[in-house]
Amino acid sequence: MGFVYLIQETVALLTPMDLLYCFVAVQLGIIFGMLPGLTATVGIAILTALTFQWDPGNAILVLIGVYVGAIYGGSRSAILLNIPGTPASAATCLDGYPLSRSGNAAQALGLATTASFLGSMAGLVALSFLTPVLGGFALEFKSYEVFWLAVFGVAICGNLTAAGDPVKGWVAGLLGIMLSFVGMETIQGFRRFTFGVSELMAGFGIIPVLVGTYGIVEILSSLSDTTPEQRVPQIGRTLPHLRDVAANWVNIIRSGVIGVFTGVIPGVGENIGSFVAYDFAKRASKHPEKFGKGSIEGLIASETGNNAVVGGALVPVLALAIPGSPPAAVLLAALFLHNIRPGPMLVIENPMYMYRFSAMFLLASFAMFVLGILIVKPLLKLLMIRKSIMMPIILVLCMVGTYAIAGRPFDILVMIAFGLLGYPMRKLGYPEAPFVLGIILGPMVDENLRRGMLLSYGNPAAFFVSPISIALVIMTFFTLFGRTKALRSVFSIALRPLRSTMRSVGRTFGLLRRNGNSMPPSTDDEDDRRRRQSEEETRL
Amino acid sequence: MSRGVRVFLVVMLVSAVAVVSLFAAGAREAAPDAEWSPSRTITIIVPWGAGGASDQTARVLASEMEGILGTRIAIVNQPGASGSTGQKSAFDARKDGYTWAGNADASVATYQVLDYTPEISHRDWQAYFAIFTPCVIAVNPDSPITDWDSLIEAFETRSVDVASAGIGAGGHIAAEAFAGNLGLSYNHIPYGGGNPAVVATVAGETEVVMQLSMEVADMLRADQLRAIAVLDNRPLQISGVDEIPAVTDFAADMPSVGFHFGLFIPKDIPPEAAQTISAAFETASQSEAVRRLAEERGSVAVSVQGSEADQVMEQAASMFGWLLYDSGVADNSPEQFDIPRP
Amino acid sequence: MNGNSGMPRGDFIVSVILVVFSGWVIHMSLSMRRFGELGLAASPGLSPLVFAILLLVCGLILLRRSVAQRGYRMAWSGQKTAVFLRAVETRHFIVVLATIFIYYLFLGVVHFVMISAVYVFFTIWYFKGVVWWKNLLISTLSATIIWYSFDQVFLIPLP
Repeated sequence: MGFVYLIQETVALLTPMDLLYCFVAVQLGIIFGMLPGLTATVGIAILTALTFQWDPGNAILVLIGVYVGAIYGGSRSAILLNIPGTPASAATCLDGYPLSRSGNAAQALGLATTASFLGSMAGLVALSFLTPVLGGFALEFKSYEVFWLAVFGVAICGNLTAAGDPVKGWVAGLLGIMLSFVGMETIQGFRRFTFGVSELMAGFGIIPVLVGTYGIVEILSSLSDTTPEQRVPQIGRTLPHLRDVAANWVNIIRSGVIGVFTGVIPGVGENIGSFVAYDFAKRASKHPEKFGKGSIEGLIASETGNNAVVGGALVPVLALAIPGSPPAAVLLAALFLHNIRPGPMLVIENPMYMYRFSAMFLLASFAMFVLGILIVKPLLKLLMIRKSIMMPIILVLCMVGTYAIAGRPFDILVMIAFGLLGYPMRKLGYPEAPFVLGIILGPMVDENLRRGMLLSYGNPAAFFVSPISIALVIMTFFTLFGRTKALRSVFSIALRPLRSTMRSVGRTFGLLRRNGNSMPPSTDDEDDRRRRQSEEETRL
Repeated sequence: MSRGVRVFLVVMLVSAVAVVSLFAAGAREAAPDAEWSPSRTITIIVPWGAGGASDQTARVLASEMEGILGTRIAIVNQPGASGSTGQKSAFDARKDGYTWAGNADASVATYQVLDYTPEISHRDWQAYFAIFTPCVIAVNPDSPITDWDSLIEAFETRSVDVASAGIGAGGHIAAEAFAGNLGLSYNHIPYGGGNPAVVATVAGETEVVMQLSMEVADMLRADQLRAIAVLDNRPLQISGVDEIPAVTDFAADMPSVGFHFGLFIPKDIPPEAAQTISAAFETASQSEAVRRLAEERGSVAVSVQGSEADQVMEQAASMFGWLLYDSGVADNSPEQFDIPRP
Repeated sequence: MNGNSGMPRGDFIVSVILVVFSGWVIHMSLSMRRFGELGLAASPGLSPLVFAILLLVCGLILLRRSVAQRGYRMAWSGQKTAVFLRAVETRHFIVVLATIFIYYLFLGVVHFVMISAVYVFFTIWYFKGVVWWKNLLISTLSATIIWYSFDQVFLIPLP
């Protein structure tokens, strides 16, 4: 029955005016998403103000269009310039940019569009048919569960690196977490690492950090590069081959489901969804080594993931009046301002609204797909512009975008500083993606860990009670000590210093002969580790 | 110029033109009779996230005042550090009447004692309040607490988890006032905002929440929370919910804990600007839009400014300041800033 | 490829920095104020402490690895430093950074369109992008369009 309602409402929306509003809004959203610094949250907030006096139907349609467009739009600049327009597209950079470097920009843009569209469809299914079910699921995520989710996020940092050096991924992630601790924390209002600087009290915003580590670094490195610029001839078609998409159907469904669930969980948004989807895709892939070097699977996972989050994040908005992500929070406020009261009463008072809302979302997703495919060709022209012309203009946009978030000059300084930190990090092989993820995860881990402690009166056992917690702990464990090739090597790297230390300790005490037979008898576990270790060494 | 640049510029121009033509309709003409009439965009810095109570109040007021003042009003969200950094940047801007802040009385009144911005006094601001929202004691519907007596019994016999939006937030101050007045103790669980605190109580992670009526109204309507009392001397009427009894019915000398939301403009702006803004606020705060916002979010529409608003600020500073200082949360003594004990 | 990033010297320097940095953070977080009777378990220093220890572990792994690859052998020579300092890349880097910083300093002092146009013009000129009149056109146009669409249409504050 729900399906019929959805079709009904969609048909009702197919008037020329509604279509025009929708397309203009989605196009605006795409532009907002593409520009570094301007995110979906800012886009919706600005449009809320501009559409305040409008008829609620059109205003909400415009806001949904901007949301869908902005999350998608971030992938454009990520693929073409290696500067993610929004934090949600940071995982798209990992594979999108290498694809574009190798002359497959058109294909990458087309695939990302298709993947985003399919992700939106996953979100649509959740939004229109599963809202009551998933709404309850959202409430299952309390402090302990969100804490473990964040820990899981930290664990996947080691997997978000192209160089195959997980330690550097973790170092980058942990550094991000450290820097996220700067400022006033939420639990006791204590000012950490602020050194009396009042500007530091609000901490480092995710946007200045993102624009700095990607945008400024890209500007610095491409302008200071003296090797003659070469334009990579762009080949390949925009509309993806059906077989490329079909070959990835498991990946798409998996990423869609991950995206929806990440979206549903309150306070965890598209920024995290794409990373988790990417990590899962990498571990399930037959070619994990291609990830980070232009893997189509990785690109699809990330883009399906972040757009599926949009639909997911709107589920608790409708079901419980709880936003699933920061942009959804602004959208929720806009709904209230337009006299629409989502929440548990919606189903009783206005049962059809859910379908009207879903229909708007559906329309926006179609608009995104059509516009996305249409603007690929003009966007490719961006690659033909000389870097020396392009980069200064991008810098101006970076400045403007960063300032626009909060109207604070200090943020621009933060952006430049993170550019300066990011430059050597990139040169030394420390990936940006986990760094940005760390900045996002830091406050989540901190807040929920300590709140959990307060709730349990300092008893850590409470962290291991609920089934979701245990599932997340197991997932984290497998991420760290899993059996896939890449992870096994991580394991051996982690153990190598331990072994060497043991060896040197043994040597000091004169216990260890060259063949090592006077070592204490090892357990099976130890044998297993050693076997992996030798495997590792033969591969080197 | 290379073809690429041309295409890029054309695309940008076309989208700019399309956008302008769609949104230009919103621009309005200037009011002719005002002595000071703003000639450029006014900025309201809301030092909290978009979608919160301060933000919604500021947005509704802005959209009403745009028409009256004949200028556009931009809203910038500058969250962080309990709103103190954003409030400070509104204060540090040129004092020409073009930069305002959108905040709540209790927040602005406690930045000094909490040592966030010790150099800016709440007396430096002229407040314009449009919304009053009292704190409501609400519990998870599955909780054994059903009325005032069982509430007190629960607090006396066990350690009750009380959620709040953080140190110094409405729910925390309400809980401190409640517990302090009755000599009870509780387990304070801070969250990152009013909404997460309410959701945590709905989800059953915490048992009690004493956040603003604005933040609990919809959960009360949907029976996801149960209201026990409102921390005010009058009962609170929220449409769709049974009347919430006043706390003074049960404990006569319990103080009222409520927040006034509205605009804050430095007192040092030119007097004629203040006059124009004051007149515009007077009309805007009595508009249908403000009334509707108050009705929907379970709060009361008010129109408080001038010396009346100063009084509200003084009361807030004295009550909240001393509460926070006495409970050891605030480092600076209110005495230091000539704030008398309530 | 695993565990060998091919830059033992860089790894060595970074690992030393990491170890020192995380040690400092551990010290800071242990001395942070503790609230309530739970002590460290709910203190603001708990998470920095935990993650600083993890970072320390990562730093030590990196240190161990780079030492094994003899990354501690620094080959500083005056000649190399001079070559580095005189390289075009270094000069470009410094110029780009300096212009960004000067641009930042002037934001809010000079009108946005003017300073942005000057910045874009200078950078394009320095890197010999196009002939001067095209450059002038590009820089003024882009600055004006950005200013117009942000400041006038969307009411986004500009510096």
